Amino acid sequence: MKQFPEYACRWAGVFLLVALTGACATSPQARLLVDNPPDIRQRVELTEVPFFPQLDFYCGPSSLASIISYRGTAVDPEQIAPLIYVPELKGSLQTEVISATRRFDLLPVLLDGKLESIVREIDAGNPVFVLQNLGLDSIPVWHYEVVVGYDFDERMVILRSGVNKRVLRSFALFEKTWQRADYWALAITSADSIPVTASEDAYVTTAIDMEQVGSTRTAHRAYLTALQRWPDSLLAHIGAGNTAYQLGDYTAAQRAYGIALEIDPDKAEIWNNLSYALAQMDMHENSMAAIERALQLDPDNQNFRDSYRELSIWE
Amino acid sequence: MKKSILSSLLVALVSLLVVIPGQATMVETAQIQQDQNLLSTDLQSIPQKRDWILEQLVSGGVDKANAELRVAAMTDSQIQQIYQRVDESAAGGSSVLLIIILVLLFTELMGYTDIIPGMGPGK
Repeated sequence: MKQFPEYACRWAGVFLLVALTGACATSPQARLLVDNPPDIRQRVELTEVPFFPQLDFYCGPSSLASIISYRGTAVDPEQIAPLIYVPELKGSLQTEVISATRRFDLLPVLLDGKLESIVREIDAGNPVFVLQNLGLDSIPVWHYEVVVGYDFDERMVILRSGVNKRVLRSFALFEKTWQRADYWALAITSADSIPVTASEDAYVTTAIDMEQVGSTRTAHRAYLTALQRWPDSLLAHIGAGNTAYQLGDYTAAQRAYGIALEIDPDKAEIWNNLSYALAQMDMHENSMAAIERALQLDPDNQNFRDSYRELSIWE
Repeated sequence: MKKSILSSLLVALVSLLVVIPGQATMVETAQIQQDQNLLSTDLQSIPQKRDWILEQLVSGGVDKANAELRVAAMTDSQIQQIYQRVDESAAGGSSVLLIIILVLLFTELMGYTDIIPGMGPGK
């Protein structure tokens, strides 16, 4: 029974050649990538990304351990499995891969589903965690892998996959199996950097999620990182303010809310939060002025009314 | 059955205790983002959905203590996403391998799939 996959693999090896020949017609992204290569190196392989051969159905834990180790925290798949593996499903859920990544103070940033983005990330030194469907839409065979390299001469991506440290797959074939998994891809970085292709929305949302699960310090760093690239990001300013407040740095919170209000002076929630930062700084009058401004903008908001009451009797 | 009702009650009780925030009247960043995106997130049902997901994980063979930590590590929006998809989106293997091999041998020929070493069980 354990021989079964090897049997499948042997056949796959034979048929891969056949698969490659007709591939381009139905792989528009791969074709585009080859016809209009981005301005990056011709060939990159992140050889230093660790490899953990997959045991049983642990492709999720193995792949995640690989990237987390690459980011500097030594873990093995056996430590990851209790965080994401579901025995009955013989697999791991995407959303749990995301929450497990956060536990290591790393940001799981969703990429935009473009093949070009994957190679750009590799060129920038970011291995990419992908979901593949190696079967069909109707009979899926889900599989997590790590893209660690690409080669424009060979038109191949290089993967850490299953029990294989180095798998080569054509852009075209990779696109097809990836497409059947809804182009799901994560770049996993520390809070001090941003994946080169990440959108403002994707990155800031990742920081907000980080804040929501209580990793306040990491979230704060991520907001500040986001603001270096997107200085006008309203949510990043608000997030920076809220996390600074939670960390007890009320001056920084006040400053962040101030910038956020320059961007959107009518955002009542910011006035509300600013009023608390000011109260913490013993600036009672300014604090009341801020909460009154919030109530002016949204008089029926119960939250702001509660704030007003609480701030009126602030000690 | 009775036991599972009891345990979800217990979990509901525990999450009630946990949910009380320190700053009741600061507006959270996630809340502002939701308002901005005009998402009608049904926040009230989140604790129930968390319980449901917890039950799914436990019945999927995850031990109770781990499952609780895992559900706690999810954001509200993750809870919403996962709620309807818990048994659709698992990756790692499949229990219908025999059917798959027959289909795949055919589709490999047609160039539709790529079965690579090590996707299944064992080494």
